[in-house]
This record gives sequence, structure tokens and C-alpha cells, in this order.
Amino acid sequence: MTMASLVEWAAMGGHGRFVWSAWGVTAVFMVGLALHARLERRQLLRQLKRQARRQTPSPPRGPSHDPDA
Amino acid sequence: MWGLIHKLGSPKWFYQLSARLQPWCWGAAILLLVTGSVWGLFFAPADYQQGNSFRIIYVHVPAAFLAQSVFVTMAVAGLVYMVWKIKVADMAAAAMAPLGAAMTFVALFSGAVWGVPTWGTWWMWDARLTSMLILLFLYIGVIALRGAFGRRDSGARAASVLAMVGVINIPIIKYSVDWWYTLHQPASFTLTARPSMPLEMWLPLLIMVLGFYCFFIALTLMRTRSEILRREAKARWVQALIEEAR
Repeated sequence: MTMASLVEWAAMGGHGRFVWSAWGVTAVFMVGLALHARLERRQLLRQLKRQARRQTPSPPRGPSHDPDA
Repeated sequence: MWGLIHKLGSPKWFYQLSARLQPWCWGAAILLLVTGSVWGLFFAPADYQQGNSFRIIYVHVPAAFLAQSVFVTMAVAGLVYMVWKIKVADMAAAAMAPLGAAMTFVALFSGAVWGVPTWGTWWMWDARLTSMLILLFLYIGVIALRGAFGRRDSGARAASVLAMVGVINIPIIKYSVDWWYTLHQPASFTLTARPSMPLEMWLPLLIMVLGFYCFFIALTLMRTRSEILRREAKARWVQALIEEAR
């Protein structure tokens, strides 16, 4: 496929701005919703882990700062 | 049957089942959407009357289908929640509402953009267009109502009732093009009748419609899972799950 034919395809015979704005808005919403769902899940898991740590402190990892150790 | 309903209604069981289903739904959605987009944008022939602007159909029709299907699903979930007090149904209803609102907006927007070269106007108070605008307001109402109460179950009940009452708008949308035929054309894509367009235009549309539905299922499963974790954070199985992931 040549550059010229790609440009011609993107112009959509003069209807490019209609086709691309409709497809663009659709893509933005769908990708946005999927990314939001992923972010939502990650933040929630992080928050739940933090809460769990506060309630039952896990044994310290690595070099300990406990004076009795 | 009752056993199955109550099993499905158990957040823990739903969480485990959806974990297995989810990757397949996402995979199918991505595969179908990519195939349908490439086919619809590159290979489907231009319409002899509308030229290339008809390619808007590949996002407009699936979005309009989802806009209505999500609302019906939400109303059914609301009914299930109200009658059987199954909390997962309400969590799913909460999870899918923003998608429904987004798809209603996408259908309205892509329709307006399509209207400019085809009808010479982006908007008219045509019955189909107006009833879709009402659907958008109903979605906004359902989402706002849920958040407007201090107690979660009051908000959930209010949102369920509005979804169940608002579902009356769906047959109005469906038959608006036959009852008041002013601007919007009647349905050109159905699964029950023979396709009214050539197969090489119709097949990518079918693929896009299926892709949108898989996206709906995948996104709703994912967001319902988050909602389950949020609401059941104190349950022993959730705490064990979090402990394991640490």
C-alpha cells in the first residue's frame, strides 16, 4: 500500500471528518471505559492490601529494625 | 433452578466463576472488534448513495443496540435485586450503568455526525432521536439517584425502581421509527429477517455487534468483581484472598 492510497483512503471520499469523528469518539469511550475499569481494580486491591496490613502487621521482610531481633 | 439462582447470587461463587469467564470475553471482544473495524473501514464497499459516510453504521448501530440492551439488563437486574434481594444483581447493575450511558451518547453523537452529510442536519426532534435523548437522561438519573442516598441500599432500591419504570422507553425507541416515521429510517439490521444490504457490508456489521456485546459482558464482569471486593471487604473469603495476594 502506498502513502497516496492511504491518504486517499483516510479522506473517505470527502467524508473523512464524519467517519473519523464518529469512530474516534466511539474508540475514546470504549478504551477509556476499559482502562478505567483496570485502574479501578488496581487501586481497590492496593487499598484493600493496605487495610489488611494495618490490621495484622505481616512479619518484617529483610533487615529488621526491631531492637530485640 | 432455585439452587442455581442462589449459587449465582453468592458473591464468592460469582467472583470465582467470572474470573474464569473474563479472559475469554475480553479475548473475543478484542478479536471481534479489530476484525470488524478493519473489515468495515478497509474492505467493505462504499455505499452507492452515501459513499463512505455509511461506514459510521459500524459504530452507530452496535452502540445503539448496547444502549438499549444495557438498560433492559439493568432493569432485569433491578427486579432480581428487589424481588430476591440478590446483591450481586445490584452490583452488576451499578457496574454497567456508565457503559450504557456512554453507548447512548456514542449512538447520539455518531448519528448526529452521520446526519450532516446524509440528512443535511445533525439534529431534528424526530421520535427516534428524542427517545434516545430521553434514554441518556434516564441513565444519568439512574447513576445520580444511586449516589444521592446516604444508605447504600436506599440508593440501590431507588436506582432499581427508576430502571424498571424507565424500561418503558425501550419499546418506544424500538417502534418509534414505525409509529412516527419522520427522519430516522426503520431498522436495517435484524437477525430475524434477510439482510437488506449486501453480505460484504452486513457481515462486518454483525461482527461489530457481537464484539460490542462481548465488550459489554467483559467490562461488566470486571467491574462487578471490583464492586464485590469493595462491598464484601469484610467477608472472610475476601480477606483471605487479599492476604494471599500480599
